[in-house]
Amino acid sequence: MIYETKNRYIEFLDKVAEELDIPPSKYKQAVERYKSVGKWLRDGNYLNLKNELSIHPQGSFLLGTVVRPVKEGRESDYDIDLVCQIPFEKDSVTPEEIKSMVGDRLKANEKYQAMLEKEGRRCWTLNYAEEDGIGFHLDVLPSVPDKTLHLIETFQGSSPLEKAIAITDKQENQYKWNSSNPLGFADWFTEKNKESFTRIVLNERKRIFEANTKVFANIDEVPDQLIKTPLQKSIQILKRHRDLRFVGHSNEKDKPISMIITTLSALLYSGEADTYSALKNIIEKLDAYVQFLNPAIQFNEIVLDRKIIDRTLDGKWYLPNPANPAENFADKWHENNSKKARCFFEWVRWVKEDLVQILNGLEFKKIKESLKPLLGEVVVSNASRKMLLSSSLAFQTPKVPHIEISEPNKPYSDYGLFI
Amino acid sequence: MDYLFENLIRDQFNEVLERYTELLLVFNKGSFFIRGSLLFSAEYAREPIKECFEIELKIPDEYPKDHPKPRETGGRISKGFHINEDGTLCLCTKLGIRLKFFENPTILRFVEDQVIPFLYSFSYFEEFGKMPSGEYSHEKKGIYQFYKDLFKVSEDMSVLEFVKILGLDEYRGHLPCPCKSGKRLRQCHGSQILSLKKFQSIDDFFSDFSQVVFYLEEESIKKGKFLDKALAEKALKRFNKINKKEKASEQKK
Repeated sequence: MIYETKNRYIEFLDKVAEELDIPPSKYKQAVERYKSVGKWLRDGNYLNLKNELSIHPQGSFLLGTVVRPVKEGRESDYDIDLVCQIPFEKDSVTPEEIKSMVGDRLKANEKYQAMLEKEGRRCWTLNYAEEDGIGFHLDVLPSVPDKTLHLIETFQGSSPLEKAIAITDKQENQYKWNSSNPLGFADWFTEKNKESFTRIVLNERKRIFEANTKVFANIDEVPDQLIKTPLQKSIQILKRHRDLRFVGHSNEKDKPISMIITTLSALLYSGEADTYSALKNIIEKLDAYVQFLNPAIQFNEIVLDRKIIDRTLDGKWYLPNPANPAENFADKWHENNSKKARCFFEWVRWVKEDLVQILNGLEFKKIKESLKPLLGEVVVSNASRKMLLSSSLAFQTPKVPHIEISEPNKPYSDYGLFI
Repeated sequence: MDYLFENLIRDQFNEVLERYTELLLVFNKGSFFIRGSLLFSAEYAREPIKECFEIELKIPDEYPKDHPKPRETGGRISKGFHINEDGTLCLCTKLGIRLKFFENPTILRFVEDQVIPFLYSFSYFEEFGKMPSGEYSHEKKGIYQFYKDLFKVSEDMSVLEFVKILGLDEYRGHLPCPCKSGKRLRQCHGSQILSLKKFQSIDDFFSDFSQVVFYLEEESIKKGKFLDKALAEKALKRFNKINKKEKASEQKK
């Protein structure tokens, strides 16, 4: 019985991740959209630019960890992150120049001009409304290559800096440079994900193709980005849990950032074959770090199999971006009496209670009901429906009662046409 | 919370649970709710559909004198499809739901005779673009259509006279039946009328009557003719009075 509930829960978590993700048809649509934008940008004439610029997916879209945002309690449009790589030498241009270069080119297109949001701090955002009501926000991040970063040895090993970029940051009408390495990060992540990916790719590609024959003409059209490992699914579930747990909370601005969740999960994932085990392992290991909140405890005193978050003697926290170690994700954690650190570990405790310990003795349908406010009512409902309508080998699907409808009432509506 | 009431709900819920295993009975903010996945296979005119909807049934305090209030909580049914302003499913007219419910006032029968056919209609509509077993129009036109079906008549005036009898509480058995069968009311639709009176308050019947009057008036105006003006004015006056009364009691709450 308990085993049965666990199997259901595993299947359920997979379906939840699927619901949080971009469906294959929307993914295909997103690719078409960004390729059009890319072509438009490439075809532009830019002063002094000899080589072509290029547009490339980055962030969760590239990593395969996209999670549908929730705005005001409703499932919202997808965020697609793109980086626009401009082959200028960093010291031959100003950040303002490359930012406006991209902006001006987009504005020169009537269609994009209408979809363009007000200039963002780092990106230009295009808003796509789609026929099915589920739209996209395409974030285009202008950048130039950055060769000024040096190879730094961190306790996580050396980092891939060849793809490092300089991006622009606009604050109060002043533009400055910032460094980033989204493609280097993606390479690092892919490496962490590789073993699991290789193990599942053949079966998953087949499964996705068979479930989406209207989208793909043949099995080879199914892109790698749609194949999700338990690591990727765990990250998606964690991000959504974080989104809903902090919405409207007094600590909302201190909530854990996606980069931290993604990096830590990738560091801690040990190749578990199912999503529940992956999630459980990641959370339990993270939970062990909560002792660090006590400033008296030094890392050396505790036996942990690996050091992934460090705390220096002055009370500052250190979690380096594996692809850009000069960037410390936890650089603000010590502020306000370690507010962000405390929020982070409190969130880890919540995940442990809400998603891991919940498996202790409850019937599956009760678990499902309690997860509605934590993961989203629509997401949980859709995941549940998919599970119950499919015939699964992992657990016994319930008997389906059959009704012969006779002399039914006719539905009515007590108000005018609802707009 | 009344012990007998709770026992009744639990017994009826267990009856539902035998067939629909993915449902839960919960108690929240003073009321009982049935929540979870309604998994079913249903068929009308040989078109079977297997479906699963996330639902919630609120058991009203007056149960079983009033029927459960159903909602679809999975976000699949948008407000454009037969959903009341409060989010509950608009299974039929108020009287229509009650008539069917009281044939066999249990939660299981409510689910199988009313909720599932409604969800089936929605699913069918999504798939084929039309309703499998019809639907009523919005507001007053729908009320008119409902009574037309109920009394199985074809003449507007017949419908009007029937709802007038109910709305103004004017049953006179010796008068000719409004269906124009030639028989007296008491030998024709009389027993149906008398039986119907048990299912709704006089105010609700009056409201239905007003709606039918307004609808037929509108239709007559469109055709360039006028209905009994005095009747229409009388209906409007009393309708506004009831509305004011309702609004006042709402504000008190």
